Amino acid sequence: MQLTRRFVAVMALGLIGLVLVIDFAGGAVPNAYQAPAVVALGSGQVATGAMCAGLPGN
Amino acid sequence: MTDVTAVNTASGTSHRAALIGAAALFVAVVGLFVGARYGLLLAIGLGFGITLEGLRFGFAGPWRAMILRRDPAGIIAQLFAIAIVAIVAIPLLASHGDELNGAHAPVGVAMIGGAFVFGICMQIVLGCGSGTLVNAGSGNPVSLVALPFFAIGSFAGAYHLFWWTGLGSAPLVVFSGTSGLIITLVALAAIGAFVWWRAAPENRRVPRRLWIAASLVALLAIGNLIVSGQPWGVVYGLGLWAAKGVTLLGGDLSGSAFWGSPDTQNRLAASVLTDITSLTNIGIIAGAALVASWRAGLKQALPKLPARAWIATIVAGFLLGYSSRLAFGCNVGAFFSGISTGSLHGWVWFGAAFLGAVQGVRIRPYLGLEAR
Repeated sequence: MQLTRRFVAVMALGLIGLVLVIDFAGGAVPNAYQAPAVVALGSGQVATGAMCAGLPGN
Repeated sequence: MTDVTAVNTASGTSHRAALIGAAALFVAVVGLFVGARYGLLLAIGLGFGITLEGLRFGFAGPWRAMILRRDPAGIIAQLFAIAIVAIVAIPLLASHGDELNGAHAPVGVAMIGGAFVFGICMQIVLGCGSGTLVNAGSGNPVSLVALPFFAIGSFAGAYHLFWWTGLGSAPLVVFSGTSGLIITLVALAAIGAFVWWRAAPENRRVPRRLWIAASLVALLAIGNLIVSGQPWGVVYGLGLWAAKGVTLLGGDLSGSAFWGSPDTQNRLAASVLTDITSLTNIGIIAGAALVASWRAGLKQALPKLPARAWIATIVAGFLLGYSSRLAFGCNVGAFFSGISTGSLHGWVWFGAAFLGAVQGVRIRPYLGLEAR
């Protein structure tokens, strides 16, 4: 059987599914009641998200 | 219209409606059960994926086009998008410094080396940070194989990051405020003029598609900053996914100054659906898959590549992740977001990665990834 790009795309989406399964299996359950303001700008909340340019503690 | 054509048209319409419905449902579920901000960020990620794949806007391909054919169109579009973001982001960072963070990082030995290696590897697999996600989602097998190793490399690079930064870094330099914006825009215009001057005369044109794509990418990147409080990034999220896998398998990350820090431990315990770069990464893959399926572009047979091509893909995928952590970002986090938020490291990243890309273009044919 000749595999097509559809197989690869499905596998990529499956990879997302695997990440979510690992996440839930590790006990990470989101809580919408603890969510931050919809938009950071104007919220008055300090930005705390992690990103590529940042180091922990900085 | 024949009966067969009518049936095919109806089938295509329902297929596309199903795609839109699935994407909207995904956003709604995340917005409802995780939080409205997170649903919005997933929608922004989907927007990135749809734009990048739908309008064929990328980073690795345009750099290759400039190196091989002296075709400047893609790079001009990238610089244009960065300029639009800078015009909004640099003033916003000056006025809302607590609520918003820039992609600011110091220039250092490992940072420069990491960018150079990233440039090589992005040309070997023909996919950068965003490009690997887009290509995997749209059915490119090389990118699909590279992606998990990209994530593992990002995890490993972050694990060792403090050792690498200890090799030496200059003080942080950020172009901020009005003067910073002017410096950034003048420098972008100068690079654009240089690229235009170096271009082959017959290639001195930018298709309308790329102007539209650059504008949309810029708007989405501004949306990412305003909603999340930080610029668009890719690599951190991939490393987080691998770190979660390691933790689930019983791995102890306390020995790493990066993964063992209290901040990072908290993020490891939280859902990936609350991690900004994870959400946009997921959106990019799904958005690209949506467009590819919409276009009925997934029927193409997969290419047959030699074993050395797959080995090269795995090694390059790992190095993409590892090097981009040392470089404080990939083409998105360092080049696009670094420059557009005023960080000097974004400029240095661009120079080092482009030099690496020249080498990567030369190496790629020997690895079996294209005809020699």
